[in-house]
Formats: sequence, structure tokens, C-alpha cells
Amino acid sequence: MKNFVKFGTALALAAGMSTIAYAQIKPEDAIRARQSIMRVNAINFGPVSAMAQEKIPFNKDIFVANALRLESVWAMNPTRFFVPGSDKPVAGARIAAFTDANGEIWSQPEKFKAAYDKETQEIGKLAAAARSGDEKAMKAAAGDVGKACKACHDDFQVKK
Amino acid sequence: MDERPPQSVRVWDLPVRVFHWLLVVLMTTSVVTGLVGGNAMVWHMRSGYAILALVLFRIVWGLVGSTTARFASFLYSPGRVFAFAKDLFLHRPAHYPGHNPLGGWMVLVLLLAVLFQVGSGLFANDDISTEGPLYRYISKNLSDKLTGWHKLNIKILFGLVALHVVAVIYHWLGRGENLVQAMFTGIRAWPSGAPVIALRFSSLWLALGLFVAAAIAVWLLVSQPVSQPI
Ligand code: HEC
Repeated sequence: MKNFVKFGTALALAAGMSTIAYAQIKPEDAIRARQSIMRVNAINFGPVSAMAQEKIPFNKDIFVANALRLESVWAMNPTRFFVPGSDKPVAGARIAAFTDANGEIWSQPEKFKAAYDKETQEIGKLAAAARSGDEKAMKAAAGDVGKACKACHDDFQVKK
Repeated sequence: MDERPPQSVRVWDLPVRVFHWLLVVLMTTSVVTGLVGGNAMVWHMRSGYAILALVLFRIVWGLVGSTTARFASFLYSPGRVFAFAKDLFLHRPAHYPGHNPLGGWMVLVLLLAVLFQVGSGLFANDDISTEGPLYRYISKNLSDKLTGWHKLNIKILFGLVALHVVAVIYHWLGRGENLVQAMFTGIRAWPSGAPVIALRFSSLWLALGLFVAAAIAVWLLVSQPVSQPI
């Protein structure tokens, strides 16, 4: 019991600290983090999407590997890294010299969260389809993931 | 004006008409697939390639095609353009078998805007999973810029197309000229009082050959090696 309480306290502390850690992440680190997650998303989604559109031949193993990696990377939740002060690059910072984040991310947080939730749902479906091994379902789910990426970018990634 | 019934003249050749309506269909396809995104993007790209081939063909046809298709025949001097605008303004008759002086310049602007749209698309990237076939040859920075212009220019194109359609409606309702029907049939009602201008029509085989050449050129341009997935 004592151990259990200790363990629980440690967990609670760790959870609390991780929240604090993210709240205190430096804006330039936050920008780097979210852009990196996004880039790795795109790297994993690329082959999935290309196979779904028959731009490259379907290869089940590569499709599944990329879809499941996308699920893991998305689980890092890039939206946590749009912290206050990260709407613009930090002056003079060597890392994250630009950001394409649109100010509406901070002025319309519910809408931004809805776009994130939608993507989480679509990536979940893609991973489920990948696990099921149903090629048609995989390809269709990939299309919906791409649409969810686009929907959020249309609203929240600044047009260059 | 003359009260005798109008006669008909053939003004548009088949290549111009086919070009025009195919462009309408493909532009619509491009806009819809671009808005939908997802797996439709592969069709966005194919539609863009087809438009590029069409426009390349149309530019060459504007140099060697039938009289009414040629730039030299429908790009009038500023003086003529103002005179025609004045005719419109004063509701005076003014008959041109092909493009009128305002419409001619509009055609050139539309063609250039469409060319810029497909040209920028070749280098664009969407930060998701679609890259134009020539993206690999330029920097990400430049591609992002061109992608921004691709998105801006489509809005300009919407404006130009709206203006084009409004002008056609004006000619129809305001001046009794059915230009849409003429673009389908190639034949226009021609007031018997108006002078008949001799029009020359180029060979359809030449048109076909030029279009095939344009299609091959586009195909060579866009068939780039794909990178291997990991
Ligand atoms: C909830 C909104 C949202 C969703 C969903 C989303 N993105 Fe993003 N994405 C953004 C924002 C905002 C930026 C700009 C970040 C910045 O520059 O600070 C971005 C930037 C990017 C970038 C550019 C990163 C860089 O190099 O700077 C890529 C690539 C990207 N996203 C890929 C994707 C892919 C692939 C998906 C779908 C699997 C996706 N995104 C889904 C909001 C989203």
C-alpha cells in the first residue's frame, strides 16, 4: 500500500512536471518541435498517400509501416507546442527562424482543437485500416487523412 | 441599321472550340480537386498537365492557326480598343467576326493567367503529400513562394473568368449577340449590312499534329522519377 501511494505520488508529480515542462518550453524550441513533428508526419504520410493515389505501386509492408509511424508521431500532439509567445520567431534565435502559424490558432483555440481532433480521428482510422490489412480501406482512409491535414493548413498555416 | 434578316458566317474553327470547352471542363476539374484535396490531388495534377498541353497548343495555334485564332488578327491597337469601347458605350453597332478588340486582349490575359497557374503548380508543394513534378529542381523557399502565388493567382483567375462571363452575358442581353452558341457551333449570325471579312481556316490535321506534339512535350516535362519510399 505504502509503495502504491509512493508510486501514485511519483506519477502525479511526473504528470504535473510534464505539464509544467510544456508550459515553460521556450517559444523557439516549441516552434522547432511542432515544425519537426509536422515534417516527420509528412515524411511518413508521403508514401501512404502516393500509394493511395496509385502514384507508386502499392506495397503493403511499406504502407503499414508508414501509417503506424504516422500514428505514433501524431500521438505526440503537435498542437501542444503552440505556446504563448511562439506566434512569431524569436528575434535573433538561430533555430526556428520562421513560423507559418496563423494568429487564429490563438484567437480561435476551439476551432484549432477541432481540426486537431478531426485529424486524430482520421489517423486512428488509417491505422485501424492498416492493421486490418484491407487495401481499399487503407487507401480511402489515407485520402481522409490528407483532407484533414489540408483543412487545418487552409485555416491555420499562413499562406506564403 | 439594315432590316434584312441576318446571315450566318463561320467564325470559329473546330480546334478553337474544342480548346475552349475542354479548358472549361479541365479548369473546373482543377478547382474542384484542389479544393477537395486528399486522394483527388492526383487528378488535380493530371488536369493541370492537360491544361498545360492545351494552352501550349493554343499559343502555337495563335501563330499558325485559322484567321480568327491568330493573335495577330485579334490583338488590336489601343486606338481600336478605345474606339470599340466607345461604340459599346454609345450602343453603336460594331461587328467583328472573331474576338472584338476588348475580347482579344481578354483572351491573351486569360491565357497568360492560366499558363501562370499551371506553371506555378509544376513547382508547388502543399506540405502534405503533393509536389509538382519540377519541385525537385528549385529550393523549398522558392517553391513556397510559387505555391503562394498559385493560390493567389487562382483568385485572380476567378475574377477574370467572372469578367469574361459577364461580358458574354452583356453581348447577349445588351447587344443581341449569342456568343455562346457561336463557340459551340462555330457559326455566328452576321448582319447582312455588315462587311464580310474573308477568313481562312487552317488544316485540322495540322491542329491535331500540334496538339499531339504539345502533349508529348508536357509528358516529357512532367514524367520525373519518383523517389523510393522507406
Ligand atoms: C491542427 C492543425 C494541423 C493539422 C491537422 C496538420 N497540420 Fe501541418 N501544420 C500546421 C501548422 C499551424 C503549421 C505551421 C507551423 C509553424 O510553422 O510554426 C503546419 C506546418 C506543417 C508543415 C511544415 C513544417 C515545416 O517544415 O515548417 C508540414 C510538412 C506539415 N504541416 C504537414 C502536415 C501533415 C502531413 C499533416 C497531416 C497528417 C498535417 N500537417 C496536419 C497545422 C496542422
